[in-house]
Amino acid sequence: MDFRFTEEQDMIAETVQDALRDLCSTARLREMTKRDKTFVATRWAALSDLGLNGVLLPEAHGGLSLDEVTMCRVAQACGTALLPEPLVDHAGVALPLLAELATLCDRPDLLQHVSGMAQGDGHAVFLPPEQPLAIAADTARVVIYAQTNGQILIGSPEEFEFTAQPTADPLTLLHYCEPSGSSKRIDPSPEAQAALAQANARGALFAAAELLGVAQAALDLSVAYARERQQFGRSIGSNQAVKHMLADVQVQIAFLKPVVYAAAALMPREDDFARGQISHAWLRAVDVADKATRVAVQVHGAMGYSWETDVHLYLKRALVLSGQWGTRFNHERQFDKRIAAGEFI
Amino acid sequence: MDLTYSPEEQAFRAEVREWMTVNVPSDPLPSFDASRDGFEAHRAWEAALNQGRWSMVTWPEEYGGRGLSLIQWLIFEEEYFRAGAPGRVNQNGIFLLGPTLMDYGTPEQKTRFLPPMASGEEIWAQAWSEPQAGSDLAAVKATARRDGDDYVLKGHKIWSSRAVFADWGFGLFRSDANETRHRGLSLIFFPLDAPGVTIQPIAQIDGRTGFAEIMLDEVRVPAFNRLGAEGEGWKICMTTAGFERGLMLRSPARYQTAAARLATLSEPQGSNITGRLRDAVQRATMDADAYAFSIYHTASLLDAGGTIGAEASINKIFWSELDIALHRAALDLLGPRAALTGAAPASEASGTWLDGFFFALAGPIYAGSNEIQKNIIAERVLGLPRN
Repeated sequence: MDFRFTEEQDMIAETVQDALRDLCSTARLREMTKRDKTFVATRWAALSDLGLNGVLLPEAHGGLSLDEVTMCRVAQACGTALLPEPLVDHAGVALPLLAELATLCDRPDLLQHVSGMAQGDGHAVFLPPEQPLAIAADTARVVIYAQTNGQILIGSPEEFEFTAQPTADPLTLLHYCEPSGSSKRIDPSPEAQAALAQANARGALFAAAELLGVAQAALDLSVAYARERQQFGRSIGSNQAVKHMLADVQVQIAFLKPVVYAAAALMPREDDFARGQISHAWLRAVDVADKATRVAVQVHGAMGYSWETDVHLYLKRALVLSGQWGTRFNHERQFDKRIAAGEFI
Repeated sequence: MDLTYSPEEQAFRAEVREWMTVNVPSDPLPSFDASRDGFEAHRAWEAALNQGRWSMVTWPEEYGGRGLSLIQWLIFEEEYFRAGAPGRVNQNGIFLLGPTLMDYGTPEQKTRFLPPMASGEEIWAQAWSEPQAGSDLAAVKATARRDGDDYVLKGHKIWSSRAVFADWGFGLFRSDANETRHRGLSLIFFPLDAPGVTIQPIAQIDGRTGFAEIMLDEVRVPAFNRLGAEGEGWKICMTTAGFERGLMLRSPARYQTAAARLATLSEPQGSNITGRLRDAVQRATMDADAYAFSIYHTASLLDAGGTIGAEASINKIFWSELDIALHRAALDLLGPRAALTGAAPASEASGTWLDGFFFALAGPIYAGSNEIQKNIIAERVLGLPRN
């Protein structure tokens, strides 16, 4: 038992944070909103050059073969930076799923796509049946579409029909997706179903990690503003009401972190306790990000209600992420199984 | 990051479980705050624990411990609570003063005080607050006047947990009359039966005398009883408070066991439980898990040589709020039986939940109120200005 990050995990987290600080500053994000852009190809390429597409991918497919804990640190950094491109869903969910399905069904054509994407050439999207909505789905190289009957369609975007769905977040454009052409079908074998379940669990886990990053960034922004903003001749952060509001957020974030990391470390177990902790991480992250971003609006006062400050971008990203990779109802039912399982770890 | 127990850790768990199965009294002991008999029954339990060298497993062997890691301590605690073993009557000693002594005590002081603390031969009360020094602890007025090799203590302490039946007190005294606030304070031990000590029990919210006032009138103790340097009392006291708010006093097992009991309590009502109550039952396990993961993380860092700072304040807010929410949910589930005391024939287990609820209400107050903890978090963790 050793609940600490490895040096490698810390190193990758720092690398991503450093890269995003420059590549994905809020100044750059604002520029994007002015030009109605939600995807910047040069940034995607720069992140691919760091090998981030292949964090979870086995080395045999050109990946780094790292674990979910490492991917959580990457997702957290993406949340903090409000990264608009779908790196988390691609590297954390779709690409490893594609590699697994391609191997299961012995499909060298798909494996070729996997190797290409591991090098940063395009991205994959996975659309689960209850959520046929994804970021940048229309420009994906490969689309994985799971149907409610268990069948899985894999194809190029031309074989699907996309409807753009603008969201509250000016940096997130979702696409609703329906099959239209003759996509290759994969039959619902137990192995394929397990791979889908794993992909859904990863989606929820990394969404939680991303929400953690958003929450932390919203708190940092609020604290900086509370120190700087003067009223009644002193900074508003010297008032106890403001202090306690921010301290409450700090407490919530402090107890979200270990849940997210534990859920990631327990991932290989795939039992009710481990799956329950992923749902726990998702539920807690949704609540904490909601609280942190709303407190950020409140601390910033009227400025927080304006388009001009960065505050609304965090609130809206939290809103978008909270609607992805499961519903409160499903995750609560999943956690009930953890309660029934009894024992801790 | 590895969240699996090693074979050694599993073997250790099995060893603790076996010992607890054999040794934990089958009937609950009477409260240690309600009567001398209850107090002495708990002292006997401490002696039994010490006999098996289970009193403080993290302490070095020479002081009665086993020199184990904090992770092993967490495993021990999980088994302790699982077995329904008695509450630790000497918690002020073993969980608060003990670790502080380990950090600041001289070898002679450790040899003198730690073994009888581990065995329960000497049970400790804390003597920090005064009538005008609660949250504002630096306002203490009780004095320690140096007289040769002795200190002469004078003053009025209050809200001293366990002081009614305990053997020793440790308190904060102003040893330099010319200093004010955080300066010129020293941490000094005194026997509660020393000449000049008067104990006035105070009934708590549940009617039991869990704390007391201590009047000190020219109480003479050797300077040997001062922990750390003269005037260093505030700093040492904050270390102790860190143990109280943070890791040691409230191990996650306490809440995990309570959350599991709450889930069991809710089972017979099945789908009749809806809305807020259903949410509260689920929230209890989630929060207990979150607290446990957090403490496992902290224990891993400490075992590797790290230190704990203002995180203790963060922990304290979390466990105190979780404890109240959990017990409140239990009372909701008990419905008409919720307000029945253990003496009521129809109470069944409800009295235990009621006791737990009252105990939980103290959580946001002791060890520095939660409002003070939030100030600490805002100022020391977030860096917001003091005024």
